[in-house]
Amino acid sequence: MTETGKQLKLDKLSPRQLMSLDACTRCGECQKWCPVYTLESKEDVTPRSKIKYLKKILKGENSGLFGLFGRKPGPETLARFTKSLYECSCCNQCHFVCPARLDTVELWENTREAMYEAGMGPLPEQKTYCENLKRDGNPFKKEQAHKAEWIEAGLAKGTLTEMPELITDNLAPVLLFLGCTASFDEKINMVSQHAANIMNHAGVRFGILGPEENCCYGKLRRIGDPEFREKAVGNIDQINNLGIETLVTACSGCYKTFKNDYARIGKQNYEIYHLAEYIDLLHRQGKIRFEVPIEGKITYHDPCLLGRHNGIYDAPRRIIAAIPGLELVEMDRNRQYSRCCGVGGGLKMANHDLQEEASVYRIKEAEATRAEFLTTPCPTCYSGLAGAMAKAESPLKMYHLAELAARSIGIN
Amino acid sequence: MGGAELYYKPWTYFWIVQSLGVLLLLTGLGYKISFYFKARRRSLYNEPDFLIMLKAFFREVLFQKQLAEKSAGRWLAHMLIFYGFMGLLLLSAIAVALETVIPETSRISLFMLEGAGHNYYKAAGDLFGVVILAGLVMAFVRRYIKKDSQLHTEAGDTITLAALFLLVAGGFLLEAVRISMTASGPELTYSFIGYRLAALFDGAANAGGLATALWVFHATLNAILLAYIPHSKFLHIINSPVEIILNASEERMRGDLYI
Repeated sequence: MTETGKQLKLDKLSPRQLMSLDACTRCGECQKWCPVYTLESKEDVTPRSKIKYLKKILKGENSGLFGLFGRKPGPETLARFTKSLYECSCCNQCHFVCPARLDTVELWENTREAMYEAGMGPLPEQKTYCENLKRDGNPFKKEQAHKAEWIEAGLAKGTLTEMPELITDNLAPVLLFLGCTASFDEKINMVSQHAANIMNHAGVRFGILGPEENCCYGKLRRIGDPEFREKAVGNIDQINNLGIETLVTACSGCYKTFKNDYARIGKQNYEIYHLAEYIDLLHRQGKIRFEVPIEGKITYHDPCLLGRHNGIYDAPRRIIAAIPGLELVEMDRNRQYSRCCGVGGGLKMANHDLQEEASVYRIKEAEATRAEFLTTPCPTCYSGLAGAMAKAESPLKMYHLAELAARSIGIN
Repeated sequence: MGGAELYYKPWTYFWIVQSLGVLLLLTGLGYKISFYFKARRRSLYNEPDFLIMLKAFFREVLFQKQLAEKSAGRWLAHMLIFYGFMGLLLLSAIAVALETVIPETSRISLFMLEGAGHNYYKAAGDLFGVVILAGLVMAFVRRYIKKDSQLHTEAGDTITLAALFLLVAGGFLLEAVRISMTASGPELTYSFIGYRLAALFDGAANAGGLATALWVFHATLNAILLAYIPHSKFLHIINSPVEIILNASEERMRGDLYI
């Protein structure tokens, strides 16, 4: 128990995770690569510091006979730990560079859950975010009934070639799960239109859930809200009952949630693809062809949730390579070393300025390649990087990967 | 092993302090393990892949490829400390086995205590000692002289390096004093470091007392370090390899580290 009277429950952590706290040698490799440390240069934000504080807190709570093995941490330790735990984008870079291979993000997320249950976290902005998300079913504070408004807008503008059907009507084998950002965010919902256009063009029998599409609730898991499990079970049941064979999601946050988090909660009777993987698959199957050239140099931003969290590096690059006229120039930090844009893991809510700085840093790295275009297949990264481009007055032009694919196919 | 009559060795103290060290080590490890198993979430989600775990053991624990990829200097320093430490641990295990398990009249005992094995043992001891000291010097230079920006030194880091240094350096000094008290002979040259350092103590007034003091210091520090292991970064000696091996099996969930 801390001096505040609150206690972290160990039932949210695993024996392996507690063991890993003593496997850290404080070598500092995590500090060298941490995107937040790059911006703040404060020891407190490093993964090794988070581990140090967590050890101290847990030792204080489990101090053994006569308190021999630890003292209760004071409020200052707790405050420093809380700040460092939540001002982290959970980008997984520390795991990839850690010589002891500590599974850091899983540790942060489980610890956040323990903090949530103990009333020691999250930060107020994150708590409000979680409450709104659970109340509205999406993080945009909009009614779910508006989730398919991108369809009407697209049809009216002529950017959506066909009206996608509801999967509950057409019982198609493929569900296009668009995610909240690609549905509600007016600056980004072109992604949904491109996705639907490409699938129609390829002759894929697919449907959408429209207003019935719930949030994947991945952010609840990232922030540690214990209600995530219940929400996940609801989504798994709903989608299993559709009888689909394949789920294609346009969002890398949804992809990580379905692929990694739901997989630990329940059986999903369908294959899961990210849109970038699916477009690549359609191309390799010869169902789509990239024939319209797009001339210029382009650089690619690997989203953490697709790359480091799921090992998807090649499919997006194959799409770029297949588009005539495009020349890929890599940023210095790419693939498993790709620098996080800062939007994930709840950092955007915890410290918006820091997230924006992280995105600007990434934009500068993209500019250093001398590419004209920047692309990414993640609507959330797209949103963060677009904001940073405006702030940094970047000469780069950004495309979502689906937009590039659609253009080269000759749609729009 | 050898030289027992040259100076006074308080064996009763030795056995008490070593027993206490081992007892505290086991108690500390017991406390740690019971603490780890208070956690209730699953540790592993995949069926263990023993082949990939074995590969990771050789590649990342024994060869430490992941460190080599980051920095040749850091890799060399850590490998020197790791293999020096393991070598000295092996020699200690041999000494304990000869003292407690292997019959004195057996061929192996005679070889190790009175035959050529004794010389090889001494040479190996000095070799592993030098190896570990070289690694410690590299680590010291990186941390305190070059002040590598990714290091953030706390008391525990200094204690770890200093304790290992004192243990090994103390061992060499003890050996040097012992050699300085021994009648010259070609077998002494196998202790190639102690033999050269022995000149420092030639003609020392109370070499026997000094040897006893160093012997007690070495034994005490060894026991303290044993007790300290579960509560310090020394515990990574056990936990890091376990984590590396478990992760190698679990990593398939996410991706490309071990493909």
